[in-house]
Amino acid sequence: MKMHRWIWIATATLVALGIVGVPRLMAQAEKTQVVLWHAYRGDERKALEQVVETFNASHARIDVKLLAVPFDAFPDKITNAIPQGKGPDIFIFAHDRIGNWAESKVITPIDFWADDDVLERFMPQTMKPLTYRRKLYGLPMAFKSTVLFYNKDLIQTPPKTTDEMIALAKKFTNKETKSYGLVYEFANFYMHAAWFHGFGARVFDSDGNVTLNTPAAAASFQFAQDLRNKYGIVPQESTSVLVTSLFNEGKAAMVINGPWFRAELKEGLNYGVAPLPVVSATNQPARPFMGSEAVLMSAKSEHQEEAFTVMTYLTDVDAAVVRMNVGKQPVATAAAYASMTDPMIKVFREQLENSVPMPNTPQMLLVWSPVTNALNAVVTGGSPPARELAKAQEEIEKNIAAARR
Amino acid sequence: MDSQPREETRPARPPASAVGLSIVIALCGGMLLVLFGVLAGIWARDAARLDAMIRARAIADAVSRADDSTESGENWIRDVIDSAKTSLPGTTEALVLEGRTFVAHTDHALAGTRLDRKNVEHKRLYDDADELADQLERNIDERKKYPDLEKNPYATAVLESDEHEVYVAAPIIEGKMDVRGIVALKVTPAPVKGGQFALWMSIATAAFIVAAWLMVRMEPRVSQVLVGTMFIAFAGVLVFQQVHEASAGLQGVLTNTGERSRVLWQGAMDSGKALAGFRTPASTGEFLEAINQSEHGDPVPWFERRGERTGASMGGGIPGASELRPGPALEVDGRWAWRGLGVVAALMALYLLLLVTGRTRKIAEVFREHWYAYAYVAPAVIGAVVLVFGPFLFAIGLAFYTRVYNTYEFVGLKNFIEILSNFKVLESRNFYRTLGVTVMWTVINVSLHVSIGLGLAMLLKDKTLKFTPVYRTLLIVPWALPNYITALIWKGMFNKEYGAVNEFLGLLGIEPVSWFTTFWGAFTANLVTNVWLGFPFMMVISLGALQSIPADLYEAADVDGAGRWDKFVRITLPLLKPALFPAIILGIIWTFNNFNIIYLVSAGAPDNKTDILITEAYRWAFEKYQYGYASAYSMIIFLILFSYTYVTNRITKSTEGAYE
Amino acid sequence: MTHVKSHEINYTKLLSHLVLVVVTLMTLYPVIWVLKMAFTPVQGFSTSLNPFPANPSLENFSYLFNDTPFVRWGINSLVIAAATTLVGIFLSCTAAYAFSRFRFPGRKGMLLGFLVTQMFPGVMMMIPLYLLISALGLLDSLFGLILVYSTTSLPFSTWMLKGYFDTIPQDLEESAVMDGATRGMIFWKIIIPLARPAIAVVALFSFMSAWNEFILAATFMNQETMYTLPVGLKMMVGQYSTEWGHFSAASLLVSIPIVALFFYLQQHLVSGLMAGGVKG
Repeated sequence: MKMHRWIWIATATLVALGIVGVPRLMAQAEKTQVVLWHAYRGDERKALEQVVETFNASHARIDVKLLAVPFDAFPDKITNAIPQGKGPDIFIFAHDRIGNWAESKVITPIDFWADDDVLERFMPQTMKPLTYRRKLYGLPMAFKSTVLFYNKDLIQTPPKTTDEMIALAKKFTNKETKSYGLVYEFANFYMHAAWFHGFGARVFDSDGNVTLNTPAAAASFQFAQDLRNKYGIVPQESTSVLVTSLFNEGKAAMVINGPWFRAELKEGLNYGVAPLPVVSATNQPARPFMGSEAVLMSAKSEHQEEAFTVMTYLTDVDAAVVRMNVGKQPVATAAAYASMTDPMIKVFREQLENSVPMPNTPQMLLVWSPVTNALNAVVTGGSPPARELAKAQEEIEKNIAAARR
Repeated sequence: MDSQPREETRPARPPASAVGLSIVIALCGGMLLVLFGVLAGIWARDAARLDAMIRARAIADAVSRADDSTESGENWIRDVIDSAKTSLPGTTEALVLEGRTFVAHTDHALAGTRLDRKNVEHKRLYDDADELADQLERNIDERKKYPDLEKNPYATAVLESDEHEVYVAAPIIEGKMDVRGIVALKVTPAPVKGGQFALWMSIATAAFIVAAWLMVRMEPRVSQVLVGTMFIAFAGVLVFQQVHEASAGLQGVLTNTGERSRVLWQGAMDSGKALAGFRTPASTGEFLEAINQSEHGDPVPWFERRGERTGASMGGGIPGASELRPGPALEVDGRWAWRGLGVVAALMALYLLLLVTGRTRKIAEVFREHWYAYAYVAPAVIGAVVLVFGPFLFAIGLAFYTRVYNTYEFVGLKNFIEILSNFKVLESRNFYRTLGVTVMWTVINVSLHVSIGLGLAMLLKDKTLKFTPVYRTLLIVPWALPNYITALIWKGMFNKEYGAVNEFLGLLGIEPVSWFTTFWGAFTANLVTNVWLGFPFMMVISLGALQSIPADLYEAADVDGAGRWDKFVRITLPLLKPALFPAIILGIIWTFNNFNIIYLVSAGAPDNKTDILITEAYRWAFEKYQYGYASAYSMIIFLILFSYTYVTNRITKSTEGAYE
Repeated sequence: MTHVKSHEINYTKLLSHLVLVVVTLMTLYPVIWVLKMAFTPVQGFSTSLNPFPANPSLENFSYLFNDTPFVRWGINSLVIAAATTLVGIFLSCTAAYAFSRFRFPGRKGMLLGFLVTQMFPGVMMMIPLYLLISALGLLDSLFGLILVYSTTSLPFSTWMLKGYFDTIPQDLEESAVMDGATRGMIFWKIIIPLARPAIAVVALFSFMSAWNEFILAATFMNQETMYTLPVGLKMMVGQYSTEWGHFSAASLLVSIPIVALFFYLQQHLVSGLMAGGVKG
């Protein structure tokens, strides 16, 4: 019985301490606090922390406070907190939700402050996706798109065309050891997008109409199906963790993945990266989706001017060099590449020239689920591409009409 | 069952009808208050906005006629603005600015304010110009939706408004729809009558409530009816008179402003004629006519046409203006409308409480009799009401709205009808199909959870068996691990080529199965995962529940020579019921709404066929961004579960005690 | 004690052990994979079916303790879960006792009301809950989460306990009343000790529901030092990739307190009605 009592007392004390000791940080008297939320992990996070530390040390009036938020909770947290005035002043996120957030007045345009001196820093491809309805909503930090990873123990020169890629992959496919020449998440439209655009298809035309049900799109779906069923060079099913595992175990000669993949590879793995090959059927380079990761400003920030100062600092050359060399980020600040120490970043930089920014309209968010279903049905289910794409197109149009109602 | 002694003498009960009547009266009063509160709020705001719009329009129209590239033109514009401030009382701030352009970038700018990046004050102006231009663009983009606007360029936007200040902006339009700049105006609206109504109504309501309570001993029904009728008649007259007065007052304000604005405009025209490049209008007062024009040609049409307009929060007099601002349709004023609503809600709650407890019984008496019971449940109930029911009601409310990005539009039952009237039951994502999958999912899961859990508990309750604590502890591990990782492991185990499941089947000589490409395969994968995750919970519950069965009952049965199965059916099962039933009912509810496993293991594959209702609702909310639809889905889920529980409860009487 | 012959007992016991061993092995098989991932210094998992790590290492664990505020998250989680359990047990015991023993107007309504709260999908409740907690000024505080968690686990706890209280014979209390005991004394001295198995279940349940909750904790807390373990775990999950090694190691650590708590509670779970008390 005595034992019990101690446990109760200990728990009660712990609880009381927790409640009373809720740390309420007093804002520093003179400094304006700019709160920055991000979902960075690993090296990227270290680099950002380093940059912010330098900022705080060199700015007397502004104090940047960082908060890392799990990616899964990030959008929810933003959309709940900002309208209540409890959110950050600025936050870092990929550009694809800008349209939605702009429409719901979660973020605010920064055109007022962004003069040409600031805007000229960035590579133009990374800027365009940050514009919604002619207004600029953020400054680009980095861009992310997929490239070709290959195992250097198996492959010396990466393939230049898809025909070469298929031939090479056949060589390294072995059903007995369950090794495959090419491993990527083929049922994920984001990963498929490289072929999709390489075959000349686009999700929306210039007027914003959905253009999934086209021969080009069907050809790209057919291509993905062939990789699995006709050539048999990709695994029967593939998930993101399987891609990582197979590449780490040397059971995948080539992998299509993005810059984040590098953090998952085991130490000592002899691998290289290369731009994605040219699609032989169209003679067009495969163009993956490009996500422009930007620092965006909350519409409810009370220190917008100071926040903008931080935004410009985070994206200037010095900070970009740190983010690139420490954080291994393909940064959007053009001048930073002069101080590049990591040759792989160069490949991402090259791939940027052949990439398509993910549409940032709210309509794009309605595309993902139906097109993924279609892709699954075609590649794993063996359905004819045209039929599935027509179905997906119809459903997306219906949902867009409903959202506008 | 009550061990508390009942009081022998009870106070005389008031007649039910008197209590009822007083409540009805109070409710009527509250309703009227709310109604007028909402209406008066809308009217006052609309009047103030329209008033400000007329002013802004007059200035913008005048300004648009000057060639501002000359210095004399600039000065002239300044004069117009200055005279507007003096001749239109209530105009606290007026300025003209070139929208969305910075000084550095322009060849010529309108007179008034030019923007400077370093000036924080200018940020707001810039935003306003931006907002206005944006709204205009939207209307142009969606021309089909707002045909009015094509005909009428005199659109004016309300940027901010509350009872103290209305802030409007009118575009300065060149050519067809070229926005050259804006006129921004701040106006302090004239006070609008309406406050007295609330006062009178409150006094009357209070008086009648008192009267009704006094009538408690007034037996003849006639007098009650008489009093009630008088009250309603009085309220009716009051409402009529007040509405009439308010409308007349508002109309007066507008006519007055219209006239003043016309004078201002005329003065500007007269002085402007001397300027070079001044575009003289074809006829006088054309802007006012345009403002006032309506389908019926009424002079000040907004008031009468209200019934035909849906966007109640905007002035409707300027064609297209009511649609101009994509603000939330919910935005009706009414701080005091809400207050009134609160009163009504409180009264309703009181009334319902009376209904529930039996109309004739006085609440006080009930409390006196059962205070200790209420004291016991109060903390839990209050917590649940505040933190669970409050949010719950809010979420229910959303079901009647459709969400267009961040604004909500009331659509009534449309969401429900759309969901329920689609009978293509073989298609994926169809409601009835999904419901079928959900029911199957729930039934199989819970049966397996309970039978495995109970079976293991029966084995583990044996105190003579060795190592039971070890088994028990190892068996709850699936429950203890985070779902996210176990779902991943299971998904991996069901992989066609690399998964352990196919490997195992291979040992039995079965060809590799492609689990996630067929409905049954994916369903099985989900099911196996969830059974694995869920049985430990039922095992723990059963272990606890089994302890409630007195051991001597088994001993007695042994004496009677009962077999194992006999004992299980005759003793264990019936006596487990009270302790196990709540867990089963809740297990069903949870499994019905088990989002994680479906989402993480099959993710609905193939083609959303393995989705259950809750994942479908999630997709509507977070993939298709239609919260109203998602809410409607959730409501339906709720209704299904509620009727299920209600019926089960009727049959099993699990709200009753075992010793009834 | 029984009339069954001894060799038969051995036979049934052997069968029991056999069943239990098989079930336990099947149950633990997927867990072995978590172990394997946790002790392999790679952020993916292995496609080989060998359930043992090729070159085991503690790298993932050392990452947690050196590079993340894992201990701090653990303390937050522990405080929240312990407080939730205590508050939850107190509230549900009193409420369940009243529901089981008294007949008062509104009783059925309230009982059904508790069930009703479980029926509306949790995802839809987040926005209103956020508004509420924000209005109460309880964002970014452990107390806010404790409040929400203890009320969300109330319905189950109350129903579970009420069901159990119903099985405790009324005559125990009646004889206590004869002896001059007050209601409070009966509740604390007779009912609560007798209901230990059910309270153990409720304690485990409340603890776990607070221990594992992610989305509310991630949304309500605005400082990394205020995060709970599930939030910390999800920090290892990115948009396109997950640090599976770190995640598995953290998952194992996270499940240890639960298993330990269960190990402690199970003595109560199998403590039946006290002998003698039943015969009345």
